[in-house]
Amino acid sequence: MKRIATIITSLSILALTGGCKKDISLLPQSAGTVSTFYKSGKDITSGLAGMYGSFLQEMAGTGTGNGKYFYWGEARSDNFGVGATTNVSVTEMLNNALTTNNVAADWAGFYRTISTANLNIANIPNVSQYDNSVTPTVINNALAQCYAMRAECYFYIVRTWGSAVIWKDSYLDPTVSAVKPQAPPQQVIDSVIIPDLTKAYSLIQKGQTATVWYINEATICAILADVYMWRASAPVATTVGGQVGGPIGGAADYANAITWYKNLFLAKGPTGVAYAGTSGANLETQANWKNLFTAPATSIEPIWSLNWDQTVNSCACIPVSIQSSGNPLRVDPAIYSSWPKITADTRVTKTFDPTVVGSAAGQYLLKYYNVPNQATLTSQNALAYNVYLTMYRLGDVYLSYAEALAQTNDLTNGLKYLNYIRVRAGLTAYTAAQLPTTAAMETAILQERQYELFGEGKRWFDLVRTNTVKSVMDPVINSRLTTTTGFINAPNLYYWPVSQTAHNANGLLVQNAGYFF
Amino acid sequence: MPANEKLSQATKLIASKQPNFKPDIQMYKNFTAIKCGRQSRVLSKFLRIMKLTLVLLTAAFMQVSAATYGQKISLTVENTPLEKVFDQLRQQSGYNFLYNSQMLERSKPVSLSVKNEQLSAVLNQCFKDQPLTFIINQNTIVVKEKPISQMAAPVIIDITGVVSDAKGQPIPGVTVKVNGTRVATVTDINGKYSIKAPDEKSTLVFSFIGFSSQSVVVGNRKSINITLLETNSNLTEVVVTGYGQSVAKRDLTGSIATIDAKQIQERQPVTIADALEGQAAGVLVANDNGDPSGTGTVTIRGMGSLNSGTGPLYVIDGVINTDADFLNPSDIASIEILKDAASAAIYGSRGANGVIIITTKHGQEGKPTITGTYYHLFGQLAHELPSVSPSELRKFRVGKNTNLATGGANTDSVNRYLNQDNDYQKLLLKTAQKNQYNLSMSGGQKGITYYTGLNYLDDRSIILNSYFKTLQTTINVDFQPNDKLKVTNNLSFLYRTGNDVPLFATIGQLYERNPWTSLYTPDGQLAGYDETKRNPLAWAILQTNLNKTYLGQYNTAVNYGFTRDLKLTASFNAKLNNINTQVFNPSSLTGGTLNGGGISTGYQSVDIQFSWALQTYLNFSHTYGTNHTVTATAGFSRENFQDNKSVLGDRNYLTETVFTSNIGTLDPTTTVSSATAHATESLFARLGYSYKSRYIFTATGRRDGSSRFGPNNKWGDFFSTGLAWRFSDESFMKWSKKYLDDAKLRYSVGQLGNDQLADYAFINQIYFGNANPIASYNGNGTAQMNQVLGNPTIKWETATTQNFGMDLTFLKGRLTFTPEYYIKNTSNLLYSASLPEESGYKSTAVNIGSIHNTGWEFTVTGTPIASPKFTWNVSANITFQKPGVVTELASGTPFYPTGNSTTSPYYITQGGRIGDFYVLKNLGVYQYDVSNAYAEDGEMLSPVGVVVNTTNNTSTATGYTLNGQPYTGAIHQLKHNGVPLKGGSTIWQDVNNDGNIDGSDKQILGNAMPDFYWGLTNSFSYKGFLLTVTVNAQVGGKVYNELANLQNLNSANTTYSSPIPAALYSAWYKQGDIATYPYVVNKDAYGDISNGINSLYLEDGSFVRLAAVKLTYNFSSKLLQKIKARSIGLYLYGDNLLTWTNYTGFDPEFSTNTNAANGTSNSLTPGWDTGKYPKRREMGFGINLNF
Repeated sequence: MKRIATIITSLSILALTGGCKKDISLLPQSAGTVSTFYKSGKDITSGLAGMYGSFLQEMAGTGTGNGKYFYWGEARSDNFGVGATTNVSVTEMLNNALTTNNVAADWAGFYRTISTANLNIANIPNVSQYDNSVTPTVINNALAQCYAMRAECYFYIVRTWGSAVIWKDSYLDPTVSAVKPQAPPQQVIDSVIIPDLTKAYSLIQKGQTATVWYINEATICAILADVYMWRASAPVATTVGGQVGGPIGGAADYANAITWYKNLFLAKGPTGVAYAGTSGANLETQANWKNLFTAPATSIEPIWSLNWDQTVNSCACIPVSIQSSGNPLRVDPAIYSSWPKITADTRVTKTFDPTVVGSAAGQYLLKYYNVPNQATLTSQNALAYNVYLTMYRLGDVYLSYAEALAQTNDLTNGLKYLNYIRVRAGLTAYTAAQLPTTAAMETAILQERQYELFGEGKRWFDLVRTNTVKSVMDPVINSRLTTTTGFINAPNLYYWPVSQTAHNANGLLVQNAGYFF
Repeated sequence: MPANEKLSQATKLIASKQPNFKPDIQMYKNFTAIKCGRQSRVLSKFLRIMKLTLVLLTAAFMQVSAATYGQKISLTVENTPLEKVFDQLRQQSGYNFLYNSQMLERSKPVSLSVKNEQLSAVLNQCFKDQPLTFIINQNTIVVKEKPISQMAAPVIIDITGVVSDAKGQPIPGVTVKVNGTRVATVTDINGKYSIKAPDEKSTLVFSFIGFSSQSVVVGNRKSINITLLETNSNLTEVVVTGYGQSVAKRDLTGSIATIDAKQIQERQPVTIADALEGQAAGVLVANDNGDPSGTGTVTIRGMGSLNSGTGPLYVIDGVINTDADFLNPSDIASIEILKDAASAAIYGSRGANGVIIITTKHGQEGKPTITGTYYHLFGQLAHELPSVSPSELRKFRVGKNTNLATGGANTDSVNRYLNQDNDYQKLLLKTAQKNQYNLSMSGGQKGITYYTGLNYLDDRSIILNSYFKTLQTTINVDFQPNDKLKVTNNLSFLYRTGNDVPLFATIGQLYERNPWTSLYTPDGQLAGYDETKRNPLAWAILQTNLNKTYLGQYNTAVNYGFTRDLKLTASFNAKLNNINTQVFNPSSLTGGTLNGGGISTGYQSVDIQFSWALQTYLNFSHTYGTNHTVTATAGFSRENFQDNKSVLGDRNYLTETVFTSNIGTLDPTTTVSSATAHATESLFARLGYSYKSRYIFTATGRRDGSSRFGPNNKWGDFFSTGLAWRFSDESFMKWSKKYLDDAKLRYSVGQLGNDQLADYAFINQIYFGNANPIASYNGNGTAQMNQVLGNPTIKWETATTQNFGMDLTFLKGRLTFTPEYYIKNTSNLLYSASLPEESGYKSTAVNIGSIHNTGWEFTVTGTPIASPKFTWNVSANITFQKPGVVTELASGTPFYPTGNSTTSPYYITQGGRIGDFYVLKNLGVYQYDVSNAYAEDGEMLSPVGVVVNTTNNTSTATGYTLNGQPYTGAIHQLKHNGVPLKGGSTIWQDVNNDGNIDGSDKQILGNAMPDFYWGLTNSFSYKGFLLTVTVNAQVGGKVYNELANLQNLNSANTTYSSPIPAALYSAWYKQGDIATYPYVVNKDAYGDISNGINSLYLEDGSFVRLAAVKLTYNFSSKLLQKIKARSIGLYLYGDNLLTWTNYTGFDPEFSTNTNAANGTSNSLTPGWDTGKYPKRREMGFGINLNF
């Protein structure tokens, strides 16, 4: 008996004292921590993949059709109208009645991507301390992508919401307030976007064969030129949330854009051939035009496309093609009936199926699918397609370049680049007599961009940049709604409202003119 | 004869016999003494007395004082059961017999013939050769089993004495025992006893039914006279207070509610929530009795937490658990609910939401007891919703929508496929069948006892293919080789399997799918989708969502008594829970078309949870002198929890009958695995002091560490104290002794901690691969920061509760009343604060804000009638609880627990209340386009001279009036999202009068928390019959009928979804209609439905429910003797029989899921009805056998 007592007592004392001394700290079992990450080249790869993944999530969604590429770039334009299964958010976009709770009014995804870029920028340079195989070139190429991605996100924010909250460092300490005010668009462009892109260009290894899925030498040039094009002509608010005024850059920025387009032509494309930018031969052929979208890695023209792997990332559902039950968007009836009348244009049937009538007409954007017609793309089998959203490609660059040339009074060369695209599409080239002025050429380019880049997330930004929103969209919106009158508040409503969710957590945010929290 | 006449006659009869009685107190006598052979009259009088006022009832409780000895008895019986003899003696003598019917099972029939004998002499004859003895106590004859023969023990001290009551009357039959030994005796007819105590340190324990026990240390005395105080059975109950300690209920300082095995048995529960419902004040239970896998939710004293769990902590036989789902309620011996801080403090680390202590049944020494029960219950849908007929829906679509020509409404009348008339409720729901088999055996011999239970539940619920089967076993073995050492072992195993039918695809489709569409494809298969709507039958029958849970638990505890006062306990517990899920969607369901045509998808998941706990504690208890009792506990505990989960996703299964992963293509998008763990460590101590049970004091201190907090904040200290004062023992209260047996005031205050937030919230985590929304990019796995930023500064959430309570016992324990008031302040609330999105994160865990809860609780128990043949017990409780007030919030920043300002009906603000519904006020529907007209101050104008243009369904007016006066000012129109509202649009109250209806016009229009809730249990026993009726109610809470709201939102003017039936007849469709529901064509463009924030769908959730009725018949001992059974009971049982409510959904009561682990905040969204598993009404029968 005494023995048992002794055993129990000593065991208990052991448990008591032993237990107290033992620390009860536990670390995550299925996740890493910042202090244990960024130790090898592999970590750089997955850190970059995380950054692209975050951007992809914003653009293409997570497999359920919740990507916003089409909402920001297309849904407010005349390219798309109401689909079979609409929802309040989409109706708001189509009718120019955006509210602060619209699904696409939230900029969180861009800031999440910026945050991953910031974390990479802060930590990737240290990797070489732990992994000898990581060369400065590897680090610089990685950093270049991070800077450029950060700039791309801010560029989207500036174009969509105008003002932006500037975050250039990663946020890790919750005891420090994360509430910050916005900066006006010009400040964001001048102090973040352009310096980041310039730095990215200086860091990136030149003359390498591009991987189309990643930001590469040509991509950086393309974004930077695009930024200058925007700054040159887009109506921009001069203060945070203020009324939209005139453009900031003007003619000088068209020259800047031309410089960067020329830099772009020096870079090599996905097949190892330089983009050159000298003729229509640098573009994909008319016959293989669709390869740009279905197989961008094998074509000479693509610059940056977003990768998708449906086996890992699930359905590449986009709002104009595949939803499990109906699409929120469809090709707008006006363009659906007008464009096919240009019978010589080989792009029409590759973009959508104009033969469908009735309720399914224009339901599917076929551009991103390797199928001949709408009947072959039912929602069941389309679940297994990959959709590679195009961010930049040489065709886009040619038309922008043409625009920049026209704006700097080089109508001859502008016409040349415009015609490369027209001829490739199967159309006859414009003559100089047909487009005698900058304005006429600008209009022709804008029209060509609508056809060539249909469903590539550009149309809305083009309309804003060329200050044609009101003239193009008022008739469209008035035909959709009898009770409102288009962009009555133009140009203020060119921006989206800052979301209610963003405002809830950051009381310093100022709403854009024309909207209320 | 009218009942009251009979009553007065009977009263006179007794009054003449016993002239010293006051008439008003004779009614009780009337029902206790006069009963044999007059059952019908007694019953009718019983019904009568139900109607008597409380005053009369209270008077009736009063016990009649003793009759004189010396009654003469004449009796001739031949081979008559003892019980029958008692009946005759009772009639002749007026004496009551107090006995336990089990005792009489072994009694022998009596044969005797006496004339004018003394009662005591007759009794002596009756009890001769019986295994029983008797004592005459006042006017009651107490029947007892013959005392256990005295054991040989070292004889050191012979002690003698007399035991008497407070009035000095000797009490015969008192058990006197030497504590910790088997030496025992009983007092004789003169209250005298003599016993041999082993030494001077021995403690004598005096106990007797109806009196509180007393312990006395022998010391150097040879003669010990004891005065026992009368009490009632409730107050002699022992209440478990945790860590091996228990205390007499009368000595509690805190607020503890007890539910015993008998109450549990009467309620016939399947889950713990069923067992608790309506049984205790301050405990709000929502059970899910329709859902075979539902476990219900239990909220103790309001929601005191924001994002962290609000569920209580379960302590099962000393082992800490977050739920008690694996227990079979019939294996439970008692449940104690520790509501206040002082009581729960000993479980400080996780007791902030209350602690529920469950003690399971253990064996007793003696012959084996075998108990078997079986019941079968039939269930049906408790509340059928109105359904939509095809003709109604067609009329709605064609007749009421001017712009509608086709789309389901114009169907080919000879097309069989589109001319069905489906009532989906009737097709989808069937009669439920529930079978339960239960077998338990217990017993033991000297030093070793055992209890083993086996339970099998087969529940096929009301939705097709929805079932659950549970097999539970438990074995408790206690080994006590000597007085000092005791080892208890418990081993439990559970196997549970069932099919969880997807509610969205079944119940959710009741109105979604057109009733005229066939359920079958032309070739006779169940159709999958049709018109993009799911076929509810196909989803219920063809989809597989199979759960299999294997749970094993082992617990061993060693108790060692160093001395009589000091005891050491060490226990170890391990629990392995293996939860397997197999989900399979056949291709006929995934295609989105009639015949499916998609690919089959599915997954199997394995979730292995392993936890262990180690506890060591010392208990000390000693009474110094006779008046000073000191108790103390000190100990240490550690708990670990490890959870590993893996999911194998598959698609394109080769066959649809085998589901293992090799049959399909592995789907990387759904194939994941994860692991998480947490641990806590605690040191605790409790001290108690009692002076004569009159002044009672307890204090608790606890230091807890949790792995969920950062290195600097792991540890939290929690203290509490409780005081109680038995003022009825004070001399100035002597006057009340006649009515008030016991009265105690108590106060407690204490702190409790809460660490229920996600594991690792203190550290920044980098997520890999498919832990991120995008698992890989271009073949490279992604690494991304967790969107929840780690916060190393988070620390324990602390709930401080003050409890004011009183325990009152009247009329010798036949009436008890317990009022309580509490103030519960939860501070340092753990919650997930939104971070500015621009930082790149969504949220971070923070300690911020406070919630203030207060409430009143009243508990009454009473025995209005108690006689050997007929008893009536009442137990009632009522709770008035205010919704928790958020007194402090993160820098005052309000937040939406779900959605955003235009979708969330809940809004947590500083000064706001938890559960407030924050919605737009729906004032009806504009009759005309021109009805949308307001004066500048927001007053609505009335249009005059309205002209309707029927061609385009518009209207014009010539002018307006305001309050009957012509109005000439500017006309203001209300807009929704900038669009002016028209005829057929919902009229919203423009709170801020800015002319635009948006999130800022939401207002608080109710709270989900009931104003009060009550439970009432009545049990009546008459001869072999026992009837128990449980009623519970919640009054004043609101429920948001999101199911109806969604149906109206999804309803379309063309085809597909139907609105709720009410909307078919009261929706606007042309100028001039006075309607409740808006114009279906325009509802989306004008925001007329405002899903989730529309006051039209905010309904009164009050209900009164006849929760359970059980009528048991226990067979007489005569029959039992023949088959050697101890008892046999047959019963009829009904559950959820009737519900009185105005709520239009299935049921206003449903569980709000709380998920503490992942930080989801459903506790902030109570009363949100999205279409839960419909409740069933059950009726059935059962049998209890006891050998």
